[in-house]
Amino acid sequence: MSFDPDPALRAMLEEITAIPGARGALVATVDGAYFADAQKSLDASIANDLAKTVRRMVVASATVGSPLAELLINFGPARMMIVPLREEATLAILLERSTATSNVRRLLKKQLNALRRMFGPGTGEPSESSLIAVAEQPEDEVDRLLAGELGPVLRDVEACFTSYMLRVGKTRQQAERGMRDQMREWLLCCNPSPYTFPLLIEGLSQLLSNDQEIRATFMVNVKDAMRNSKIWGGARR
Amino acid sequence: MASLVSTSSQPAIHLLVVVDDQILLDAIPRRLKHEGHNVVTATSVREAIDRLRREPFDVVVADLHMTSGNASELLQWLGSYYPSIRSVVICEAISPEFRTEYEKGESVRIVEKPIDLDKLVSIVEDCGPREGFFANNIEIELFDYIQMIALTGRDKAIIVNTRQGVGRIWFEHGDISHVMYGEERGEKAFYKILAASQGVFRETFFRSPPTRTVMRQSMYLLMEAARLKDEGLLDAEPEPEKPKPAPKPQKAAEPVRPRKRQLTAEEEFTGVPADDSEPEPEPTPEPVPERSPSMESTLLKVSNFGLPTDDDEEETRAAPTPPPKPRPKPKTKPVDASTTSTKRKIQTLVPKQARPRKQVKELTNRKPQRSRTASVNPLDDPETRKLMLDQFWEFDGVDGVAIISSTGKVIAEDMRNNSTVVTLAGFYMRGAARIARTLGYNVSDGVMARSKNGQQMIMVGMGATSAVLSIAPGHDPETIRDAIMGVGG
Repeated sequence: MSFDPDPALRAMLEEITAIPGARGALVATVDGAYFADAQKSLDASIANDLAKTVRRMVVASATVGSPLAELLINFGPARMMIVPLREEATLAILLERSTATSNVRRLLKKQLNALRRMFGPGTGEPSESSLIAVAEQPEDEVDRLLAGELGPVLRDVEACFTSYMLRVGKTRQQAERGMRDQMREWLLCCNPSPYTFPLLIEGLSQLLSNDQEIRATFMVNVKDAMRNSKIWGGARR
Repeated sequence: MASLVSTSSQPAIHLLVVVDDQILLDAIPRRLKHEGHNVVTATSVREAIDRLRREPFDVVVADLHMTSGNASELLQWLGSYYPSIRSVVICEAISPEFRTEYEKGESVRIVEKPIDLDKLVSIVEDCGPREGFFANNIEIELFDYIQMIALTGRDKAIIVNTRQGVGRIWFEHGDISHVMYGEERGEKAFYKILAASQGVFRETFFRSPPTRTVMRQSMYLLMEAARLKDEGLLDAEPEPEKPKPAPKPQKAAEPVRPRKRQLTAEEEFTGVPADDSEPEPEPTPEPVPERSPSMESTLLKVSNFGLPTDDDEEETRAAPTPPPKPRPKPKTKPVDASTTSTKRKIQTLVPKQARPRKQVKELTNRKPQRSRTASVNPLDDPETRKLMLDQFWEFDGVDGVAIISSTGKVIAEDMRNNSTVVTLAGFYMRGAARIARTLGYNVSDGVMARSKNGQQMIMVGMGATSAVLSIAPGHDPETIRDAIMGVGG
C-alpha cells in the first residue's frame, strides 16, 4: 500500500529516497508495504511482495536467536539495505550498487530514531527487552501455514521426517527445529503451495543423511503422504 | 476512435469471447476480428475454461449474465489460475462505487450494456497482449520455473509454445542440457525462446534428450539472457503481421442491444476475486468438478520429484564432459582463528585472492557424474573441502567458514562457535534470491548481515555453491568481502 495516514512518515521516506544513490525506500509491516507515492518506480504489488519477504527474513533471524540488525543484498547494479525498526516494521532501501553504505548509514542514523518512534512505543534504539520479545515471540507464519490448507499434509510430512531423523540418530527437538527451519526457507524462496511443495521436501531430505537410500525411502513415504492428502486432487479422483 | 482507423503496429491480441446471446456472439467477434485481433468464442463458462486450458489468451471478454451460467465463476477461475489474463466483463448498468471496487486492480474491466463497440475495442486494446511465459496449469513465469528447477536439481522436459514456433527444453540435474527451437539448437535456441517474450509452456514426460547442446549452468543462461536484454541484443522476432482492417462495417459504432433482459450486476458479481493486487493467489481447484489436466500434471510432478528412478535414465545418458584434472593441494596452511590478529592486512592480500578463488570456482563448477556405483563429485573429497575452507581463513576477521550448495545444503563447514550463521545464511540466501526476482535482477550476488547480538556474516557466490563467512566483531564485512572478490584497495 502507499499511504496517506501519516504525512510525517511519508516525508521521512521521501527524505531517505532523496539520499544520493537511493532508488527507493519502503517500510515493511505486517499489513504490507508503506512507501511514498512519489516513488513511481515502486509498484504496489512489488512493494508488498518485497515487504513480505523482508519481514520473513527478519522473523526467521529472530527465531534462531540472532535477530537482524542490518542486511545488505547486492543485485548486479543495485543493492538493498534492510534495517529492522521495531518488531512490526522494517525499513528497506534500494540503492545504486556504487553507493557508499557508510554515507547512507550516517544519514539514516538521524532518521532511525524518529522512524522507530512512529512504529511503536518508546524512543530511540530498541531496548534489550524489545529484542528479547522479537526473539521469543516472532509473528509466526509457520504456525499459520500449519493451521491452513496445507496443515494436515505438513503434519504428516513432519511425522515422517521426525521418524527418519530419529532413525539417523537425531533427537525429536532437532527434527522439529529442522522442519521449522525448512518451512521458513520454503516461505522465503517461494509462495507455499502444492506446486512448490517438493522444494520443502527436497530441503528436508537433505537434512536426513547423505545416504541416498535413506533419502529415497523418505521420498517414497512423503509421496504417499502427499497422495493421501486431498490437496493434490486425491479426493476428486 | 483512433482504433477504428488504426493500422498501428500493435500486435494482434488473442481473445476469448464468452457470450451466449446470438447478437453479441455475432457482433463482438466480427468487430474485434475487423480490428485485426484473433478471436475465439465460447458460449458457456465450461467451454471457456476448456479453451483456456488448451491455449493461451491475452484477454477474456465475458458476458456476466448468460443463460448458460454466470461469468463470475469464470472470473473466479481466472483469478485462481490465470490472474494475469485481463478480463473485460459485459454487464448491465452498475454503480460507480462498484466499478471502482472491481476495476482498481486493472485485471477486470467493465463494459456496460448497451455495448459501445468502439469502447469495447479501445478497452481490449488497452489491455494489450499478455507479456511473459506462463505454464498451462499454474501461472508461473518461465524465468522462475527455470530457477526453481535449478534449485531442486531435477530432470524435466518442457514444451514452449510461442507465437513464432515451438521449442523444447530439457533439464538434467536442474541444469538445461538441450534446447530446440525451430532450426536453432543450444544456447542460441534458448535465447531465441526468451526473445519471443510471450508464450506458454508445459511439462512433458521426461525422456533423455537426443543430444546435449548446452553445457553451461541454467543461472548463467538466465543472467546472460538478462544481459542481452539489457543491452538490447535480445530483440524479439517480429510479431506476425496484424492484418489490415477491412472496411469498417456501416453500423459498427452503433450500440448493440442484447435480446434478453439481465439481472443486476451487484448481486451476481460477489464471487469475483476482489483484490487483484493480492500477491499470492493460491490455486483453488473448486470450480473443477472432475480430475483436470492440471491435477494430472501436478500428480505427475509429485510422482517425479527426486525419486531414485531417475538413475536408470542417468546411466543411459551420454557421458558428460570429463572433469578437469584435480588441482594440487595449496601450500598455504590453515590458520587458526585465534591467531588472526597477527595476519596481514586485507589490502595486502588482494593480489593473492584471485588464485584461491579461481581454484574454488573451478572445483565447484565441475559437472558431477551421478551414478549408483561411484560419485566423483569433487566436493565429496575431504581434501577438496578442506582446501575450499582453508583459503578463507587467510582473511583477517574471518572466524567461521562454510560452503553451502544452491539448495542450502552444507557441503563443508568449519564454523567453530558460529553455527547459527549457517542457518541464517540459508534464510538470507532464499530471501535475497526472492527479492532479486521481485526486483527483476534474477539473482543476488552477495549478502552481508549484522545481527543485534554482534554476529556478522557475508555470503559470496562461487558458481553452484556459496561461501558463508562469519566475521568477528570489530571487522568490516564489506571490506573483507571486497578483498575476497578482489575489488577495492
